[in-house]
Amino acid sequence: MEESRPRLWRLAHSWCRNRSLADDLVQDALTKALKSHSQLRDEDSLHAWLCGILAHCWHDHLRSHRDMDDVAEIDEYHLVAAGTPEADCLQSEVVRSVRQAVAALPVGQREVVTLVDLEEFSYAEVAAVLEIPIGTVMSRLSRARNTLKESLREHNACGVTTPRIARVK
Amino acid sequence: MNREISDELLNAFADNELDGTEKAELLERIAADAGLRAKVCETWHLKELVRSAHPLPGKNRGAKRKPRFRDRFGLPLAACLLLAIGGGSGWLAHDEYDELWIPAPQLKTIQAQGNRVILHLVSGDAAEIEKALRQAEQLATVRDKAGGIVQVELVANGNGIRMLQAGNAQLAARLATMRQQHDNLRLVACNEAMDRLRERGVDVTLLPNVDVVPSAIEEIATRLNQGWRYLQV
Repeated sequence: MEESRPRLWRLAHSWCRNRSLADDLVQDALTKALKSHSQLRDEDSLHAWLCGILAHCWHDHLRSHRDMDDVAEIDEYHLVAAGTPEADCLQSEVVRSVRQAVAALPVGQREVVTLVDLEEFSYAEVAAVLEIPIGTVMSRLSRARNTLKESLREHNACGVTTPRIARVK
Repeated sequence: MNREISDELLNAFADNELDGTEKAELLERIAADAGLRAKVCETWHLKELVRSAHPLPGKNRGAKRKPRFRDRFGLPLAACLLLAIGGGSGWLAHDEYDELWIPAPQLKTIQAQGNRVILHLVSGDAAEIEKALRQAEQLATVRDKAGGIVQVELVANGNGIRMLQAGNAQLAARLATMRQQHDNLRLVACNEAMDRLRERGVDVTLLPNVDVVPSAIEEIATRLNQGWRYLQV
């Protein structure tokens, strides 16, 4: 389980954008995992199982700190990123932009895109980790990537060359 | 397959979620459509941006670990082991190598079902390049079920072009050695991706012995039609 700690921390940090909270979430998840290790049926899926526990811890944290009874609401729920200015100054502009864009996604979309792109889970694995249908995984991923592409267009070397529709507010 | 190609389906393709037939059919559509090619390319690049912006935490944050096999003995010994084992039925007990090498079950399928593999690199991330090189060497070294060599094509697009660019002496020497040791390994760069890099003011000079194809996706589609297996790094 300790081998998974750095990956769990990266995932938790990409969700909450707060180092000490990421520490707490990972510790909480590993503690719960140790207590319920007997429930793990397949050792090969250990990391996915741990990610599922981490997601539960994260959702519990959101519930306890916000007026949000239904976790399904997190798809539309935005959490303000809490990065430290000192650390942010040290990051390159691109890295900062990408992290900000990911952090600005609704929580449900942020979870899916990080599980697919950071953890390289299959859609079925993401569905199992978050306990949502695969169709929801795909739709959240699609919305997340469309938003990210729009936000990060200037950094995207493979940008679509077709004309863009001007956004009118 | 004449239906509209949704963003969800394009994502599934970019994430390597589709099975062989569906992937091959979609590849043909994508290969024939510059707009779809650009969308897929953009998605691959986005995946790389997200990945590279979230590196794993340093050792001071992660748990203390025993020294890696690679740290203790270095790559050359691992490469020798690889060459010595070659087409054996059991693969290395890789330990922490597992994330970099092609998993044993997948390798067995490749050995059993075909002897031509196209390996696709999109990312310019150093770790992904390392993975691509190891997997290419792994494939170029194994034997198929009939004892024959496996033809390997390592095709790079997006920022993966960095792997094939001149300027990195260490990488150049390694690729030159790989090409010398493995006649069955072909290195391929995507011209569309090179053009996009040039548009951004990047000087793109490739290493010697790298072939250039008009489009990586067209190349992959062609190879799939010819019966090659497709692997994404």
